[in-house]
Amino acid sequence: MTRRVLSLSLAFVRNLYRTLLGMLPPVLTLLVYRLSFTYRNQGDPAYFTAMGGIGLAFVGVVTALLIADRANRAAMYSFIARLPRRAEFLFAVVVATLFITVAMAGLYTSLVLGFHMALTPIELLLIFPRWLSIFILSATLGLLMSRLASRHNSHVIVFVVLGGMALSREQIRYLANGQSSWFVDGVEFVVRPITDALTINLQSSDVLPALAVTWLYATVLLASAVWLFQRKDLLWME
Amino acid sequence: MIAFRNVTKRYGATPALHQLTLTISSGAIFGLLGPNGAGKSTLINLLMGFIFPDDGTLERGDWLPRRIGFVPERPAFPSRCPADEYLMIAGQLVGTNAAVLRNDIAARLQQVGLHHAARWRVNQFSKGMLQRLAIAQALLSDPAFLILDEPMNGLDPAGQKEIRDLIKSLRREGKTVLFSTHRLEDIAGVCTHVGILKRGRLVRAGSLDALAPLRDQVVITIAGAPTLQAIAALHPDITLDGNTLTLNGDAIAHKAAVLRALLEMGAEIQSLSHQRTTLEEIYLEAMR
Repeated sequence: MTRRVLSLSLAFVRNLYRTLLGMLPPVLTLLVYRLSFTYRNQGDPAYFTAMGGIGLAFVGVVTALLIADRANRAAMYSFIARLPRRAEFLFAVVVATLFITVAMAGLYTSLVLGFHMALTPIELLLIFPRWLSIFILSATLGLLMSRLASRHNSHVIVFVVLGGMALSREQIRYLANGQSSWFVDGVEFVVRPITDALTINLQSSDVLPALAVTWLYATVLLASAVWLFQRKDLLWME
Repeated sequence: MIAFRNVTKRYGATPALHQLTLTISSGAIFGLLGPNGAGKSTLINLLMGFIFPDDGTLERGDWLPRRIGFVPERPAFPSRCPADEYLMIAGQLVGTNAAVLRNDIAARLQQVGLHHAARWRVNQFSKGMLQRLAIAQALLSDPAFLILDEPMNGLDPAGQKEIRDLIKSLRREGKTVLFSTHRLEDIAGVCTHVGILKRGRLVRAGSLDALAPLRDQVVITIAGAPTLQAIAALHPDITLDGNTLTLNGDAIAHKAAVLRALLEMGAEIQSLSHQRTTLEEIYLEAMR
């Protein structure tokens, strides 16, 4: 299975980079870099971890949507026909997204280290697993937001839920007439492990539960995408 | 063996297949015939597992993706991908060793007449070349079962003949082939079995031998008005109508004896024809 998923994911990456859309992940990464270091020329490891993690997670979601869109076409019929399990097709989308997001993390890190700050190899080693767990989460979230894994327009529900979660605490409080809302509390509860994964002190082992929960979220999202895709009628257009 | 049992598939409220029951045996060359919109591609998509039946069951025996070769109705390819790279990905997905795969790719491209275009990007291919590339992909890794949805699409007459010859050679190799077409000439001389679909219903299915002999007779017309009762008496399956003798059933085997007797009595044979029900007649009758 590993070989099939790797072959397919490399095909997805090449397929994306043969189009102009392949420029989008590096362009977005440069934008994230510009935005995170426009107002401060110097950063510290905590700032770099948090800003880079959030920005690159966004790049990961967009990349997953781009790859899933290109995988959701008739050109893929002959490939999916050769897979013993449909789920492998989705795994390949996630792996292809990770390849690109990790490469973009390399680009972002090189720019930051080249022009703004220094990080020790130990600090980089401590940051990588935090970012990787966030990247996996963003890849699986992007997959679930795509038409590829959508059944009965389930991807629209994901957009609505994310939109609701993106509303700031104050806005929701305002909408709820100043009352504390179960929705706000719920969103905070859900998002806390993700923010913890990016903000807890680099040397602290307190981050481990947050990383575990982030992986759990990614697993749940991927399992949901597989469940939706498994019994979906594939009527792909050219 | 593949078995559809009372399979129904709808797209929204529109039924694409209705209560379809069909068996495809190993080693058969099964031609799926029907006009556009009859449900041929829906049947193939169900078989490939791209879509799922609303009712009924589909048994696919010892189905293994690596033993299946598939050509979709309108082959599409990843944009700007070189032909050999596309085939390499397809081969890797069934776990073929890279060195073996390289030789296999060269052989398959040669087989479909695309050896000169191995490094061409697919967007440089003509429609016929794309069809050939799709067939090369289906033949990779020596599949036991080939499923070809309108494989002659986009091919010139020479290309269509090549595909018919290819299917005949697959038959000799003992492979099972299911292919759909709306052209009768693709079926004749190629298939062992035929299924005719009409508006989502299977209206005829079976071996060509079982479907064809609805009518099989030799008709001999004699000039003038000789006395032919003696000839008609040669076999109970010979009928006489004026100056026309019709040999049915077992009497056909005695055609030579009948002709000899006619010549001996000095009859002038005006015409002789061996009339069989053609596939076209079966098809047109099914479409009524």
